[in-house]
Amino acid sequence: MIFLKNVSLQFDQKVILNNVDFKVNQGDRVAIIGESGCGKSTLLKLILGFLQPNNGDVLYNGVSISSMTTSELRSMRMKVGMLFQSAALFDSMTVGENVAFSWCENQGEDYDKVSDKVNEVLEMVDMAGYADDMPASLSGGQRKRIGLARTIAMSPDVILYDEPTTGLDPILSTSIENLIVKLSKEFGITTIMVSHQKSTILRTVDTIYMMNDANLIYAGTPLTIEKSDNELVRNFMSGGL
Amino acid sequence: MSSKQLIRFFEGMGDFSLFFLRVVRGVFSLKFSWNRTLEQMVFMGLNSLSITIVTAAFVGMSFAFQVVKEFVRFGAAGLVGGILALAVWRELAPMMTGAVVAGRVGAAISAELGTMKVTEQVDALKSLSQDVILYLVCPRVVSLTIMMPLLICVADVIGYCFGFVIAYFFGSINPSLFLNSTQNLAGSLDILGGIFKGVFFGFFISIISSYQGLKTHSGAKGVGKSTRRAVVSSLIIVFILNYFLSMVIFS
Ligand SMILES: Nc1ncnc2c1ncn2[C@@H]1O[C@H](COP(=O)(O)OP(=O)(O)OP(=O)(O)O)[C@@H](O)[C@H]1O
Ligand SMILES: [Mg+2]
Repeated sequence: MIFLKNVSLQFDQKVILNNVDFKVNQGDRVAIIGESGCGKSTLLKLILGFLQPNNGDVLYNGVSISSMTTSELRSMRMKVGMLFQSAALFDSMTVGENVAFSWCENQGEDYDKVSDKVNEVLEMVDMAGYADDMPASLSGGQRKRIGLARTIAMSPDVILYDEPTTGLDPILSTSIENLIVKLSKEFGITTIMVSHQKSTILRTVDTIYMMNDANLIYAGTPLTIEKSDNELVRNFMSGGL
Repeated sequence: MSSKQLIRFFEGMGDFSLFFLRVVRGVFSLKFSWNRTLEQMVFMGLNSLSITIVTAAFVGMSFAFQVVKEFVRFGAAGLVGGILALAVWRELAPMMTGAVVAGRVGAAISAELGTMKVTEQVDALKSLSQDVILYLVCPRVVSLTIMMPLLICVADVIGYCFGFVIAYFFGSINPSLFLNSTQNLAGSLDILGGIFKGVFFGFFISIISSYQGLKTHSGAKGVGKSTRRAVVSSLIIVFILNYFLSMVIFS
C-alpha cells in the first residue's frame, strides 16, 4: 500500500533519511519512534508528497508519487489523511467549518446541511458543542482532537498520525487511542503513527519501527519491544518515551 | 554579485515564472471559488478605500497648489484644469493608488499566506486534497485585478475634485474655465488608460505577494521577512509597470 523504496532526503547539507526502505500494508498499524528532530514528521510529509526525496521513490498502491499528476495527487490525498503535529487547523474558520472542510470543498456540500454529521464526528473526539468556536480559543489538546475530527471526516483509507495524544490527559488519551484502534478495526484504516507516548504506542499499534541514524529499523511489537535485542530501542523505551 | 548569488537569482526567477504560469492557468480554468473571490474583493476594497481616498485627496491638492501658483504667474490660469486632469488621471492616481495598495493589500496577502505556511495550514489544505493555487491564490489575484481599477476610479474623482477646490480657493480660478480646460485637454482615453493600468498593478501585486507568502519559512520571523519582500517588490513593479504602460497607452 505504502512503500518507501531506497528513500534519501537531505535539507541543505543535513541528511535526514538515508536509503530508507519501509513498507506498510493495508490495515497495518505501525508506529515510528525516534528522538526529537530525527525526521519523523518529515517522513510523513514525504508520504503525502509535500516533499520530494532526493533519491529513491515513494509508492502509493504501486504508483510513484513523484510521477503523479496534480489530479492524481489530489485523489491520492483524498485517501490518505493526516493529523498534523501542530493540528494545523484553519484559523479563519470555525471548528465546525474545519471539520466539514472536505465535505464542503471536495464534495460541494452546503455547510448548513452537514451540521448533523459535524456534530457526530465532534462527538467521536469528545468535542461535542464546540462547532461554533474559533480554533484560537481552544487548548492544544482540543485542537489536536479537532484536527483528528477533520481527518476522520474525509473517511480516508490511511491515516498518518503525528503525535495524536500529546497534550491530552490520560483519560482523553485513552479515548483517542480507543478511537484509533476502532477506526482501524471497524473500517480497516491503515494507521501510521509517530508518537513519543509510550502508552499510546503500546495500546494502538502492532509493529514499531525506530528511526536512528537517518534510517528506520524494526524495533518489535508492543509485546517484544521492551525486551528488544537492540540496546538503543531498549534505552529509548525505558527512557520514559 | 558572486556566482552563487547569480545562480540563486536565476533559480528564483525560474521558480517565480513557474508559479506565475500555474496561477494564470488556474485563473483561466475558472475552477476557483467565486464566493471566496467576492469575499476577498470586499475585504481588499474596504481595507484600501479610506487610505486611497486620503492619498488621492492630498496628491490632488498638492499638485494643484503647485500648478496654480506657477500657471497664474505666467498668465496660464486657463490651463490648470486640463493639466490637473491629465496628471491625476494618467499618472498620479494610478501610481499612488498602486503604491498604497502594494503596501496595504500586498502586505496583507503575504502575511496571511505566510502565517498559513509556517503554521502548516498550507500543508493541511493540500492534505485535504485542495489545490493551493486554486484555493488560496486565484481568488486573491482575480479579486485584486478587479478591485485595483475600481480604486483608481475613486482616486481619479477624489484627486480631481480636491485639486479643483484648491484651484478655486488659492488661484481664484473660475470653475467654468477649469472645467472647459479639462474638456479641451483631457479625454476619455486619459481616464480609461489610467484605470486600465490598475488591471496590471492588481495582477502583479497579488501574484508577487502570494508567491512571497507561500515561500515563507522559519516561523514568525520568516513572515516578517517575506512581507517586507512582497511590499518592496510590489512597489518596484508598480513604478516600472507604470512607466512602460504610460509609454504604450499615452504615446
Ligand atoms: N522545510 C525544512 N527545511 C529545512 N530543514 C527542515 C525542514 N523541515 C524540517 N527540517 C529539519 O529536519 C529535521 C527533522 O524534522 P522533523 O520535524 O521531521 O523532526 P521530528 O522527528 O518530527 O521531531 P519531533 O519529534 O520533535 O516532532 C529537523 O532537524 C528540522 O530542523
Ligand atoms: Mg515531528
